[in-house]
Amino acid sequence: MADPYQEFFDFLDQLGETLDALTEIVKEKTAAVRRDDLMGVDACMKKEQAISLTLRTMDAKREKLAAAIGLAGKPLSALPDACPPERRAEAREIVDWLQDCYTLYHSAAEVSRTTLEVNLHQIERLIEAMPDAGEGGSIADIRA
Amino acid sequence: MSSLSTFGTFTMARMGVWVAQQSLNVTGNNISNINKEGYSRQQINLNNISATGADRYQSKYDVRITGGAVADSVVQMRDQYLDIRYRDEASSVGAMDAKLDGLEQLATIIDEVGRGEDGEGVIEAAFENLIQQIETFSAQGAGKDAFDSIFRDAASTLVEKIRNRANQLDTLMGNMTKGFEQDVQEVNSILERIRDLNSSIRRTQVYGGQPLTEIDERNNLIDDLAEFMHIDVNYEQEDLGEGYKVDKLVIKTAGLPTRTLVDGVYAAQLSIRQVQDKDDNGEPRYYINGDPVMVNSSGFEIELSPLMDVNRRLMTSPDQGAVAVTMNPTVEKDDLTSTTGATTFTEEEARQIAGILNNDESVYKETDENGDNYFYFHPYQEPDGNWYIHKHPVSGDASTAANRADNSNTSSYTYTQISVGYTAALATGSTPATAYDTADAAQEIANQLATREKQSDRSSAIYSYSVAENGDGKFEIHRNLDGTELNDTELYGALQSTREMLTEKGYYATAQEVENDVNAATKRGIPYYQKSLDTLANTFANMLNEANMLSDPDHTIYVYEDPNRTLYQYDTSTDASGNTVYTRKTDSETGDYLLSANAATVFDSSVNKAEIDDHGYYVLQKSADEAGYSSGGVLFSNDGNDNKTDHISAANISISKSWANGSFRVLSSTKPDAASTESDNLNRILVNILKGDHEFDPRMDGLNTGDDLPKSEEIFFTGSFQELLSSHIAGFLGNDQGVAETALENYSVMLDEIYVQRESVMGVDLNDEAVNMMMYQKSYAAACRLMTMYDEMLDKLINGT
Repeated sequence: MADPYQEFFDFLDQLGETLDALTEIVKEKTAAVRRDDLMGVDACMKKEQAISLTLRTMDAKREKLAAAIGLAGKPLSALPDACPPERRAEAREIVDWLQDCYTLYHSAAEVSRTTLEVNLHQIERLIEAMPDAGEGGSIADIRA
Repeated sequence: MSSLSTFGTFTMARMGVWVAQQSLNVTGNNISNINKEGYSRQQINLNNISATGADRYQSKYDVRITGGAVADSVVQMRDQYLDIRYRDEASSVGAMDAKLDGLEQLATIIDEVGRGEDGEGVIEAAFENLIQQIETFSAQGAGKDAFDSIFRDAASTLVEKIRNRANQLDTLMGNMTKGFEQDVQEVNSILERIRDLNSSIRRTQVYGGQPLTEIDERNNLIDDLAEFMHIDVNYEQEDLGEGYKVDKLVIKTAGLPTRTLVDGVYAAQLSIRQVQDKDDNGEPRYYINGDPVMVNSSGFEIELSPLMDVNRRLMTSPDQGAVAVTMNPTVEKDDLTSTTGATTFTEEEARQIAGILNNDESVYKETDENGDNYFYFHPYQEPDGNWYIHKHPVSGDASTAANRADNSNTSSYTYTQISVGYTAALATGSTPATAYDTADAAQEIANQLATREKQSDRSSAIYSYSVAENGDGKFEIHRNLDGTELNDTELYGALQSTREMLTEKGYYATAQEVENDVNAATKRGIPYYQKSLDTLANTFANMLNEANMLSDPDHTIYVYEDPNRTLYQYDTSTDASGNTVYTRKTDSETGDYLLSANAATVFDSSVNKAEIDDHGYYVLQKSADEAGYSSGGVLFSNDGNDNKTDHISAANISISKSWANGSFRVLSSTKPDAASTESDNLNRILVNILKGDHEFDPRMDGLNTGDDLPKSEEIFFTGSFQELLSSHIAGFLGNDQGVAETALENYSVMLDEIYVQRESVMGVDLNDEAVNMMMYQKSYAAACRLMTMYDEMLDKLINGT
């Protein structure tokens, strides 16, 4: 019979690796924005979308596995307390590692989002400053 | 303006000259402030003068021409969006920078990589040396003084290095605390200066001026503030009446809940609350190492004052109105076997007091050497008409008051003598305010009321109480809101990061700390490393001390006493100072000394040779003087001048006095009749203790008690001492450093980019200004030429016709 705790730990390993992959893509996207490489940004966004779909599937799996060990509705930091005593040290290690992965992803994602937004803001200002920019001179209209 | 005006065009030319001059002034101002930090490029806005209404002599065929230009305003070139993004990133950079700075300072103490010989760490090398010495000791030196001495020196080096680390961590804690206090002062200074600038800007705007310099200065201060905490800056309109409005700056914290830091000419101030905890006797509590124990163990609660102006007038009245007070009885009880001295009550009092006693576990449950005993307190009216409280023993289910009542032995009881006190508390519900006859009576009650109240967002409201007369000649107690104690995770920025470095304990987080912050168990600051080092030192010392005690099940050792060489049985025990005490065993019936019944053992060693004396008793060739060596003793203590073994920590671990002066030795063997060259205990110390795996949990060292008791008692690491040092102390530090470095790099690059973009808007570009200067200079010249021309025209008109 499968060990529900090991299954959850394996899942968290997989999640951490996915977060690491996502962090690399986000960094690549930021670099593309900085060198004004629209195609590069587009490629990165497509990869992000693919991983987002994977994460959605993983989220459903997470709920099932978490429920199996009594962790439904609780934060990740509660995992060690939900494990039997002999698994708690391992659980604690995984929680620490996953939190670090998330911290790195979060900082990279924030930077990427800010870079994009600031650049878009710059583009909007340029468009507003254009002599023929009237009421239709917005980015939405350009895209249309 | 009428086209028939005589001097209108002259005025127009004059306006042109003036506007060009103003524009040149603005350009000149930009150029001269080009290197000023935070200066925002200024731009002049021009407007046409356009007269309205009909001229007296206007011809309906005439063309209306505007009357020239006028300088409408001078504006600063800033992009508010970029300002907001810059400040958001500044708080992230501030947070990571402060965290990394703290971790780097920790690394100078904890990081062992490459600081010892052969690439080993310093403490790790000391451990290795200790292991090598005991390997040699075990192989060659069992029973020999010289090897014991060498081993002791190696142990002394190790404990000295551990103590050094602990002292360095204490010093770092002190330095960082001072830094944190200075940061809070800096924040307060910034808030005050922003408030004062708001006041100055408001005054200038009221009089119609444009306080651009002050606005620049204020923006710089806001940028500085953003590094310390994540803030939200808004500009509101203050209505001065008659439809006249001026701008008002409001700064709030950006987290949830939001707290107002600045509101126009009012600003709050931060303070650090450090309250020393007290024991049950009201005496200040200290850690074993002498540091004061702070309430809630964190010791760095940040309080936010109400908003005040420069004269310390509050923006809103703190008075929350008169309060209703209820008096709650508190009881202390004694137990008596007779009514003499027993407290008598009215029926109502007896029932109320009994109810209190039956719901107080510290009263209804008593623990002795036999276990827990439960009691039920029963109000009873005796024949004398008085009500007493009987204390009945309970046998059976004592889980609830009702069960204790059912299972109490009503035929067996003692009387209780009770002293009843009353403590004041705020009444709940919509109770009318309590009125008192005198101000002193009201003040006495007010002094008992709680000054802090926990809120749902885990912050605490800070109150004080004042007494005021109501309209009926009585006195009421008013509650005043004096400030807020922020919750553990409200701020984000350099301030919060430094605070976390000073308070976070990782696995050692208390239940209260985890309740305040769900991630408390995974955040590691200086306290985590201090406590980990304590666990390592305490466990190491206790294990080795225990290993160095003779482990005969009935504590019997065998010695002979000179000169009779008669072998007696002894018991061993340890006195309060940790010294081994030998007591000869006696027969419980006859009182005679018990002789050894040890089986014969023949030793080959010329030093330790068993003999059978004339009486048939077996003797060991160890004298009473040598008894100390055979029974071992305390190797490590909490004081180098003593043998005390309680509360050994990293800061006080020492070689015990007896081991240092040679009274004890490392026990080579735990067999009571062992030959001096036997080394079973040395092997055990080496394999099971120094190299062996152990289970470490946050409570095992017993050093953190009371409010400081870690929530978790689960094993957080299984491994050797060296592995604990490398993985959970140095290893965690390195990992946290790496994450902080990466995050800081990301945020810093972003901040620089936004800074550059912001500068591209607000910064002065010499090329732009040079072009403007040429343009305005030409305008000036053209306007002057126009004036000259109009002058000639008028001269012709007036003098030539």
